Amino acid sequence: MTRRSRATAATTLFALAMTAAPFVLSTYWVDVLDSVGIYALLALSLNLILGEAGLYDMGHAAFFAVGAYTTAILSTRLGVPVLLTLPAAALAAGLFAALVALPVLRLRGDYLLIVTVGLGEIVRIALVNDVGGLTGGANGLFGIPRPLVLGLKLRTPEQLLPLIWGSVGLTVLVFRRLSASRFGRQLRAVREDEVAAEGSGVATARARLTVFVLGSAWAGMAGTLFAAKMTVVSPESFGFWESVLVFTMVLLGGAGSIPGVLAGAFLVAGLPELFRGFASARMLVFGLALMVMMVVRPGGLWPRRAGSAA
Amino acid sequence: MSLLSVSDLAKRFGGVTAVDGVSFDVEEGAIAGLIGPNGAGKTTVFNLITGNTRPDRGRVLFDGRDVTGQRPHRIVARGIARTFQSIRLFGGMTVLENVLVGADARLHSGLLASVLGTRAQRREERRTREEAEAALDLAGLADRAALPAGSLAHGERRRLEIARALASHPRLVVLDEPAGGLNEAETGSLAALVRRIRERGVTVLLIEHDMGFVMDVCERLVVLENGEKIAEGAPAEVRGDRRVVEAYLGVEEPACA
Repeated sequence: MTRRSRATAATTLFALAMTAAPFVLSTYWVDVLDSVGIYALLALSLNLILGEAGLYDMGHAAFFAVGAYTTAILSTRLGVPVLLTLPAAALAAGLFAALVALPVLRLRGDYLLIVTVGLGEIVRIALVNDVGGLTGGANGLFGIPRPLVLGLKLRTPEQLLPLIWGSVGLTVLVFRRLSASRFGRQLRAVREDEVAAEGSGVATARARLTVFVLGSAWAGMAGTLFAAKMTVVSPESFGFWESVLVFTMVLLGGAGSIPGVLAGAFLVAGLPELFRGFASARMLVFGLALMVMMVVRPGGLWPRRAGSAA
Repeated sequence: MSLLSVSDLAKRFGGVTAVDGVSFDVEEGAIAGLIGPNGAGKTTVFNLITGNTRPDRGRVLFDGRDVTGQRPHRIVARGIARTFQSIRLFGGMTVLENVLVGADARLHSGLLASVLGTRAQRREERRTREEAEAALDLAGLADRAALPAGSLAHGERRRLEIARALASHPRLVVLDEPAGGLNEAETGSLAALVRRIRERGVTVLLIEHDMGFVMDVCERLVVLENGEKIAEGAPAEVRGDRRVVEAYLGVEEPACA
C-alpha cells in the first residue's frame, strides 16, 4: 500500500471506531473520549504554533479560557445559542492573541516560553478576580445552556461525541490543507531558520503573527465546545497545568505531525483514566515519560517526516 | 543606469567600523565580485544590500529605486536574492520544499484559498512545483528532490542554496562565498553554474576568497580593505594595483612614518 492509501485507510478506521464508540462503550468512557476530543482540538491548534512554526507557546490555556468565557458570557447573559457563539469565541481569542503578540512574538525560544507561561497566569488570575464583573470570580459561570443541533439538545456524552469529534475531523482536514500549502512551508521555514526564511523571501513576522492568531482563535473555539460540554466554566479549568498538558501532547506525540498529536492527546488525556489508581503519581509518570521520550524518540511517538504534509 | 548602485554605505558595530563610505555600481547582466582580506567588510556590505543589516549612512538603489533598510523579504520581492556564507538551508524540509520556500515571494494564494483548495491556488502550487523541479534540474539536484536538505553533501548544499535563491526569479543574485569548502572539480562546476545563471539574464554579485575562481568568473571586481573601497576594475587591472597587492600580501611599515 502507498502511504497515501494507508493514511486513508487509517482515517476511515478511526472514523468508524468513533461512530461505533457511543454504542459500544459505557457512558463514562464516552465522556472520557469527549474530553480527549477537546484536548485533541487544543493540541492540534497548538501544533500549528509549536509544531509547525516552532514557537514555544506554553500559555495556550489562556486562549482556550478566553473562548470558553466568551461563550459562557454570551450564552448566560445575552441568551445567544451556544454554538452561535463559536465565531465570537474565535474572534475574542484571536484578537487577544493579536493584542499580546506585539510583546510576545519578539521573543524566541525559551524566552517566549517564559512569557507565555506568565500570560497564562495573568489570564487565570484575572478570571479569579472577576475582571469587569463578568467572569464570576473563582466560582466561574454556570448554567450554560446545552447546545442545540437541528432541534436536538445535546445533553449526554453520547450526543456530544459526534459534535466534538466532528470538529476534530474538520480541524484535521483544514490543518492538513494549511500544512501542505504555502503557509505551512512558511511556518516550517521559520522554525528551521528564521534568518534564512526572511532572506528567501518569506514575510516571517507576518507568518508568525498569523499562526499565533489562528492557533489561538482555534483554541478559543475549543473553549466553546468545552463550555457547552461542561455547562460550567471556572478559572481552575484553565490553569498552567492545562497548558503544560497540551504542550506535552504535541511534543510527546510528534511536533508537526497530525497523527502524532492525536496520539499524544489520547495518551496524555486518556491514559490517566486507565490508571486512576495511580492518580497521585501522574506527574511523576509524565516527567519520566517525557525524559525517556527525549532520549529515545526525540521526534515524538509518531514524528513528522520531511516533505510529508503534516 | 546601473542595476545596483551602492553609495556611501557605512555601518558601525559598537566601536568597530565595519564599512565606511563604500560606493560602487553593478551593471545589469554583469558577473561582479567583491573581494578583500578577512574582516574587510564584504559580508557586511552584502547584509546592507539584502536588508539583513540597516546602514548608519548611505543608500542602496536597485533598478533606480531606493531599497535602503527595507526588510529582507521585501528586497527579495524587489528582485535581489542571496545565499549565505555559512549555508543556511531548512535542514528538516525536503530539497524541493527548500526551493518552494525560495519562490514564496512570488506567490499570492492566501489562507482561505489554501484551505478551500481553489482552482487558482492549485494552479499556482502546480506551476511553482514544476518551476522548482526545473530549478533543481539546473542545479544538478533533480534526483535529490525528495530527500531532507540536511542529508545533502556540502557541495550539493551550496548548489541547493543557489537554486533556492533563483526560485524567487531575481534580477540580481548575491552569493556569499559560493566556492567555500568546495573541491576543485566542484568549484569548476560552480563557475559553469554562475555563467549559466547570467545567461538567463540574472546579474551576479559574489564574495569569494578563491582568487582563481574570482579571476576566472568575474568581469569586474570591487576590492575592500578595512571597510573602505581601495580598488575597482577589471580583474587584470585590479591584480596589478599596488594597494591591492599590499592589502593581500601586507607591506612593511616605514621606520618613521
